[in-house]
Amino acid sequence: MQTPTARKINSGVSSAKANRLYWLGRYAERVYLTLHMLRKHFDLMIDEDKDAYIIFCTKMGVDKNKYTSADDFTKRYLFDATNPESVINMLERVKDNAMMLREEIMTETLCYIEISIAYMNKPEVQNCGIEGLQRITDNMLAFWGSIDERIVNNQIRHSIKFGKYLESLDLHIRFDYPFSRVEEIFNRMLDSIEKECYICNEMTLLMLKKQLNFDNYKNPEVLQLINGLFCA
Amino acid sequence: MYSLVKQRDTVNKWMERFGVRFGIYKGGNFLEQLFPFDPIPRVISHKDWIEIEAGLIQRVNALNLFLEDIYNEKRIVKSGIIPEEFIYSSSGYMAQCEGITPSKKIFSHISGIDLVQAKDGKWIVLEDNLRIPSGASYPMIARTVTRKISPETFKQNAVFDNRNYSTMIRKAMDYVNVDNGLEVILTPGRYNSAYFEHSYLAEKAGVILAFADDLIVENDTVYYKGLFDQRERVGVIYRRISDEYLDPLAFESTSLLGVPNLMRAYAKGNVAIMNALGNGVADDKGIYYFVPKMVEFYLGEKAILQNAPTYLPYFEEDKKYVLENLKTLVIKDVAEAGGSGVMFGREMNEEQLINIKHLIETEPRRWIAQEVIDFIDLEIMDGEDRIYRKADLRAFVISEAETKVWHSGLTRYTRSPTSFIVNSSQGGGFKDTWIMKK
Repeated sequence: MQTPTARKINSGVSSAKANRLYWLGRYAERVYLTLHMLRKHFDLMIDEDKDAYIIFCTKMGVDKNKYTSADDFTKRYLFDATNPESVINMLERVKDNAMMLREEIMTETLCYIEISIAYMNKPEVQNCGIEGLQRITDNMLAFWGSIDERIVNNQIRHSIKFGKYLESLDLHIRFDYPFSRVEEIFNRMLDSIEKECYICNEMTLLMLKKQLNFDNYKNPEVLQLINGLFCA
Repeated sequence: MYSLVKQRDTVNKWMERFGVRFGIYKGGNFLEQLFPFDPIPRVISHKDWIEIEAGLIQRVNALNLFLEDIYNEKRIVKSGIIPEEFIYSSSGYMAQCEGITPSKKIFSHISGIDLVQAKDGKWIVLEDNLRIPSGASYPMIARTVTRKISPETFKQNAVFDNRNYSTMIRKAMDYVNVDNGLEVILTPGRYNSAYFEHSYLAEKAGVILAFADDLIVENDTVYYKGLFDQRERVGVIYRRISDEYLDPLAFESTSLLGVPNLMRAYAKGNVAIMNALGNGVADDKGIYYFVPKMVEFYLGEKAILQNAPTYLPYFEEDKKYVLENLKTLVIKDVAEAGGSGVMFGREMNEEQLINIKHLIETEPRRWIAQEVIDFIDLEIMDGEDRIYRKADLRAFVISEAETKVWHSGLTRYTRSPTSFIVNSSQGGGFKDTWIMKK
């Protein structure tokens, strides 16, 4: 019979570990949502606006002149490992953090990142462009499911999800989503914070609560507050 | 077993999925690569295992007694069995450990003993690794995968389960834990060649994977630094960092991997360190020669497992023999590890032979010479073909209230048809090791 994994008797979270948990959540959500946003812009590029990728770059804060064409953007923004802002690089950053957290998130969760990177590095996948990346979206959903299912320590789980919702807030605001959607995400983030998450700056949160409203939520100051919420 | 062999690629894909890699530095760059897995296991019969197990327990018990003796009374030196020069000139001897007896008097909690099987069937010890022996995680995760993809193989073969290694480690940590503190595995970080193992064992043993910055020593006590300056007492550290980098205030001052003042906390008995500091004196290639004598001295028994025939140029008679027979011997630099500093006389040209003769004459303590053991070749898969390659076995012995041998081991094989060097850092692969139940 297989010997069960020893029950964990301790679960220290140092500030360095808290930092990794937070960035794991942020980068993982960035991969998932970037693909989602990209698909919307690639859809526009079919028959409405062949340069929609430039709008995407502007919203993401990426230098729009960096890419010479839609094709160049597709190749380098998705698959170029030497491009620091590419999707494959986002996945590498997820992996950097996940590898350092294996004992918390477990091998079975980490493996969704491993197989995503291996998949994206296949030449045949790179030739397909974004159409070939549904599997990455599926893997990221499985990753989040595994985080929910396997991590029993509330502090660990909510610290990762704090990073996830914070990234989600940031991107939804950048991409002009309606306030009702942004508010939903904010409430989910508050839910995580109220449970066992000790890495949110309470003063910044109070200020954000005041500013995050229908009239004001697209104000750059709100984004600044969101990105200043983490503290460890 | 046929289905397992047929599914070799599937096994390796699972390994990739689980991130089973080891790191190497090439040309100053860090590269991570998969550790090639061969699906044909090394099979050790129950009868053979009983003898190997008894021999390993005996050997590790003697080595632990040697370490306690050498850092305290030095009876074995006073008795003239080991010349004191061999102790004090060993690069693994640490004067700072004099007089220190670790928690529960265990020095080597996890010992990796490298063996080969000669063609006459005898098992021979090639090397003892009592500092940071690595590699157990690979057969452990390989078994997890092979049982998943070929369950019939394990229905048909009565093999001891090897997935309990992390539980054995955890029990050893529990046993020496000081004041029921936190249990941590201290890693130098993700750019260490064995980082996969550090993180995987932390996961499976259910302990904290700590980096140097996570720990602090205050009032000679080690603490884990929690959020917002919280401190939690650490009771045991399974360190995966070499002695010299473990405490920059006691050893290598430029080390960023260690924890300042850790040595003080350890010396005061406020934390257990697995394996103990200073163990390198016992796994020195020169000291290896004396291990069968240690068994007799401390345990009053004949050694069950034999060493490879070894010569110490330090002794005049041995030096003469070595210089006259260089071409048939293997020469090892005692300061090197990981397959480096190993030279086969038969592969050396005249100039190299003259050079090594000179070195042996001028620095006799630095070298040992051994007869080349014609150890057995194991079958491995090469594409669709079965070929034969040299392989060794690293057995893992865990010392806690009792000394126990893990019912498995890391079998490493060379990928080159002419090489005897099996180290992963030299391009070798690995196999699972099956210990049969009957």
